[in-house]
Amino acid sequence: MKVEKCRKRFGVLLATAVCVAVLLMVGTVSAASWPDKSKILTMYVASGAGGGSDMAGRMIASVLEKELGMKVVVINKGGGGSQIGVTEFLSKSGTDGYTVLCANTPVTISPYMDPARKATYHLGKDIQLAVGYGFSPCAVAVKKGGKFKSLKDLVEAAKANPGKIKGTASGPMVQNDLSMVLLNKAAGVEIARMYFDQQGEQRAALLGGHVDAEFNNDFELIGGNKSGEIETLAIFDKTPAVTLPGVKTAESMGYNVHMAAAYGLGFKTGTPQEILDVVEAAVIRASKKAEMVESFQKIGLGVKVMTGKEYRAYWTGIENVVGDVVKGMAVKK
Amino acid sequence: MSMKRINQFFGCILLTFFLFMGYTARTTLTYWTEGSVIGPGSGYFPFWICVILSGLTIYWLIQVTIRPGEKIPKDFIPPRHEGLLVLAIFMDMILFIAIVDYIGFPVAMFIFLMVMVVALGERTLRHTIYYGIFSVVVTTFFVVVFGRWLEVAFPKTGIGILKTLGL
Amino acid sequence: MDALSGLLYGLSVALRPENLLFVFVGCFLGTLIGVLPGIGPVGAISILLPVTFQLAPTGATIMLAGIYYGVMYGGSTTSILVNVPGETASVVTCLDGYQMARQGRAGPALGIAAFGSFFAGTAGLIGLQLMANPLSRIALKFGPPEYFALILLGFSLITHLSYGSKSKACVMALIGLILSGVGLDPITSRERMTFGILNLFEGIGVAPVAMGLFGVAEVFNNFGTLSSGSIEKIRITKLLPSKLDWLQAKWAMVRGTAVGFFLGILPGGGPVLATFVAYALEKRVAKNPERFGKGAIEGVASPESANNAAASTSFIPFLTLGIPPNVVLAVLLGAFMIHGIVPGPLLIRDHPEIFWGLVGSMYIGNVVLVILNLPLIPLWVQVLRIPSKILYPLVLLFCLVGAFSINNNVFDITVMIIFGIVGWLCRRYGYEGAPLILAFVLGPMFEVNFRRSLLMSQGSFSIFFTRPIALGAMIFSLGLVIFPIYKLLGKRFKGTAC
Repeated sequence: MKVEKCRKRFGVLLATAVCVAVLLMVGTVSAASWPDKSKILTMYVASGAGGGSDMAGRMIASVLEKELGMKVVVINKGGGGSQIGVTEFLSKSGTDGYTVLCANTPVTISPYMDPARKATYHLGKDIQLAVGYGFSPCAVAVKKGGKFKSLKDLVEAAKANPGKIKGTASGPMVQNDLSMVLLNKAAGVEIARMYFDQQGEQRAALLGGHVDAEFNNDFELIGGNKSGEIETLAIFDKTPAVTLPGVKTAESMGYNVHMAAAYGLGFKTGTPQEILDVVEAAVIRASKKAEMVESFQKIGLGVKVMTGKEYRAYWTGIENVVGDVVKGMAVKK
Repeated sequence: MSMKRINQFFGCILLTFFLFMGYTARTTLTYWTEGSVIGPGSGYFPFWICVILSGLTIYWLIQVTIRPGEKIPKDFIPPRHEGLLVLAIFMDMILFIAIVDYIGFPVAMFIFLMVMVVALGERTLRHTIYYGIFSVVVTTFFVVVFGRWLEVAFPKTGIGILKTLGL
Repeated sequence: MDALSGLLYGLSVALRPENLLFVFVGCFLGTLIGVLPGIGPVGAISILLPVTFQLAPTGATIMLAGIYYGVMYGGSTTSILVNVPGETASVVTCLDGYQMARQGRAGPALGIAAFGSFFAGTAGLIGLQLMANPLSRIALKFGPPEYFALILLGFSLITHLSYGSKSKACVMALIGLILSGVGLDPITSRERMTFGILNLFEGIGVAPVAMGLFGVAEVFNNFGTLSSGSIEKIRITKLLPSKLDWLQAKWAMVRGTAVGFFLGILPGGGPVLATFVAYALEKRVAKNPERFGKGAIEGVASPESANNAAASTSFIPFLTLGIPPNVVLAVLLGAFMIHGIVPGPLLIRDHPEIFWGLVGSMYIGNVVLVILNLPLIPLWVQVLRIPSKILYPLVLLFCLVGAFSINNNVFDITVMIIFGIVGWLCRRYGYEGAPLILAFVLGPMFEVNFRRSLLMSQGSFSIFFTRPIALGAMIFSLGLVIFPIYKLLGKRFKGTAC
């Protein structure tokens, strides 16, 4: 009896020891050896499958896979205009650099700049940006052969009939909506903002004559522009885009409006700077190869690399724009 | 207590709820906006739905009150064994949700199945072993089909020893 | 190229061995995804998108399209067998399909679903091929007021979705409507009725609610009979539809196809709405509507035809105007763009091999799906022979995994379980889930189009009565509501007079 009891105790001790050893082995992660190629890099895309943000995320995932030599798994977590995805990213992510957020201005910004949304995070505090990689300016398009031949026509009409001219955007406080707000402000008009969350609905409303203008990212307009159903009037960027040949900037027409979606990568605050540097270097390296540029071109997304610092500065600029718009909204209510 | 009282009681609870929802919708949400966006605000629909629902509940309450009271139907309250079984499975599902984030999807799935078959089936050792094997097979199937092929990102285990097993 | 020579050319493209393989793979995967609850065509296509980078454009688009319409075939399987809707578009199929299975007629139900899908899919394709351009122009006539009126029409059919008390159906619908408002307001992004719960910001998902109200509630409901020891053994009578089944289902298929055909073209409408409308229509024209909800074969034939017809015709605005009418086709649009193809009026001229190849492949795909599905029926029916003590845990597990896989979110499982209990209680006390689901699906569209319309008219309600299509639909739906009440009042009046 006694011997048996002893044996049992010994067994329990041994099991505990093994457990502890295993736990210790698993527990130690060193930042110096990043990236550990046997591990998986989990990438959070804070939008549902399909659509611009998801595509941009999946494209950079395959780039990172090649450059870092490790498997990258994309997790789509849509909802609440990126708020749900970002919140979950921050709660699930460690600071070991194996979870990365595919960030997107201004979509990722809007939730926390708007106090009514009660976001539990703030970029400056919680997320470190590693690098910006993709850039898609907003533009405005109308039905081809319709009343409007130029941006000036549209603005004049909006001036003559306040509130009667309608423009589409995919949702409140996303880039195309902001571009409309900024145009309204720059031109001193009130183009009514109508939201269609599906891209198809936006175009159908435009072609059916139910709205007057479609505000959208350049890659959403390429198709209709090519096939001649819509006419892009102006692009809201400092330089014309290769994706929309022949379209002039709004700036050149006297409306100082700049708005775009800028895609980048971010880690949770506390992640070692070396890891961020590795990712930054990897993306910069890849952007010099034809492969990445070509694959991005196919979906109409321009490659524009910003270092972590540049991306941060750009981000702060957009934060101010969003902040102003939010303040304006509060007054109207 | 007659059926009449139960109905009245239930109706009052519903009415309070709908009135409360309607009130919050009217006071905290925008009813109508003017300016660049003209038209109903976010509170317009919830408010009117609550109004209609409150109206219907009041109508129902009046109806129930004038009608002669009935006896409580025999199976109004679920029979004991049925209620217990539903409660057990319900608790099992709640357990699943509670533990899945900590011990990972595969193990949680296995525990869920085991608890359930024990709740449903005979509780002899032989059966438990059979069901254990069955649960392992099913769990593996789900992990492979959904986790591997369909790339569903199941929650991973946070416990070291299970981690080394790759669960 | 006219339609016939175009089709022959398309078939020759689609029948190339490698393309035939892609059709097959697409259809097979689609069926599989359809059978599995939760994960839908959007998720599946997004996962496969990177794989198609390497393929030739024709093969890639053929395969991805195959997944889309394959899902519509597979979705009905679990609805019929275990009352768990595989996709939102097959929720309605649960109503009568599952009852048929309970009566041992799962085989005929699955058979009619498969054949109805084939018939409707092919009919939709013929429409796509012959009338694509005029049809897409009609679709463009539908602005927010027209959608609003159309959805109102959908609502007026709500009482037809229930087989019990009409007032109870209305209450369920209103509750569905209020639940659909939870989340961020679609126009202004303000949170409402979320009680500060972050997961509610996106709103409550349709799929978890449907799986809870139908699948989980059904399992709970069966515990009653299971625990009292009176398990009714399902006798499987037939594997294939009988002559009577065919006769009964024939016109239901045609009507379902017509409804799906039209609603599929409209951006934002789509297969889900089509199934509800088709079912309600079927019940309305039926000689003895009390059969519905108790295993009427028309109740399976018509929604299944409708969702497949809608799947086929939703390609019309996509291919002719470059407008994706739903999220699945929006993802497909991305796939086209990756290969440098722009869907739109120039597609047929610039890339005839893609346009006609896709159309041809869809004809073949529909045949492949029938061939794939018919031999599976005897196999599926065996599911019903599984002892309940094994089957129910499996069904619940399928629901758990399915609900999770929609958004990779445990919260969806919670929603499903809550609605499982709610559904179980509702059924005990004579309330039905179908009106709730319909209102839940239509609610956001209803509200958003109402508000968009008023935005267009600057707050004036006259917009709903000054546009011909909207006015027509409004009058029609008002008629649908008023006529039964009028009849009822008339009867009562007569009754008292006597």
